[in-house]
Amino acid sequence: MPPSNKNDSGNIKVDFQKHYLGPAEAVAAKIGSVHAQFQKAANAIIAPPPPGLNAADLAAHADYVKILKKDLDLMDGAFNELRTMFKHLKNAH
Amino acid sequence: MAYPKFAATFKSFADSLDDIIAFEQQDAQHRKGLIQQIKSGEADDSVVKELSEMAEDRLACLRAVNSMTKRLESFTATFEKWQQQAHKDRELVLRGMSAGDAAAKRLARQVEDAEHHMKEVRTGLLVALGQFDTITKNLHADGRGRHLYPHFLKIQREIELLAKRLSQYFISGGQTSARLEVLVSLLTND
Repeated sequence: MPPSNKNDSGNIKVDFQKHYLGPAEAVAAKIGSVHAQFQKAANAIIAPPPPGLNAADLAAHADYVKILKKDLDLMDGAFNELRTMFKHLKNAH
Repeated sequence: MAYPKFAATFKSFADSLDDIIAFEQQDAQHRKGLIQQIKSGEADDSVVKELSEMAEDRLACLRAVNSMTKRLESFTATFEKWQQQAHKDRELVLRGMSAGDAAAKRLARQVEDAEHHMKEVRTGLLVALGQFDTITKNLHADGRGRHLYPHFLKIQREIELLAKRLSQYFISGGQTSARLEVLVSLLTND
């Protein structure tokens, strides 16, 4: 539990910004950085295959991208949802 | 396939040449006998006629042999060109295969790098989740931030959900990577 003091009215004052919202913003910034890293990795996964691939490899790659594209889109959406949630957290205080 | 039939035809033709040579050797002995009869004055007109007909037949045969020889020379030259082209085609196919192998290896590396980055993403997310979990627990223990607690909890669940989806990614992605690895090993005979 964080330290607290009393305000002018004698009520206990908690510095939510310092003890909860500030650290949460730091986590939000970290997740923002993780999201950027995720997008880079996701783009590398769905990137076009190198030239010179034979038909069997091309089909295998297309299969690979098809399977993962949906998951990657879902995860990207979840990262964006988190970003929005962190914004709302600041407004909620 | 037509080429095995052609090969059988040429072999049969070569065997026929051996038969013709054997016949010619026997026929030479017969001619010698006829000529000997003429030289000794024992031969009648029929022997002379037979020798004359044999000479004409042999001449006709020689013309046919000459014609065939020219056609064979032409055929051999053409066949050598076909053979050279076949070698070129084979080299092209081999080069194409090795290019395909290299591309498959590049793709496998590309996938491997992406998987590595995705593992780093998961690690980063788990660290963030741990940090946020601590903040949420403190807020809950504090008891004075009840208006914020549901928001923290919601975010925490969302991060957990995201971490779970990343784990699912590794399940499906891992299976596909394994298939690609098998494909590459089959192609390269590693």
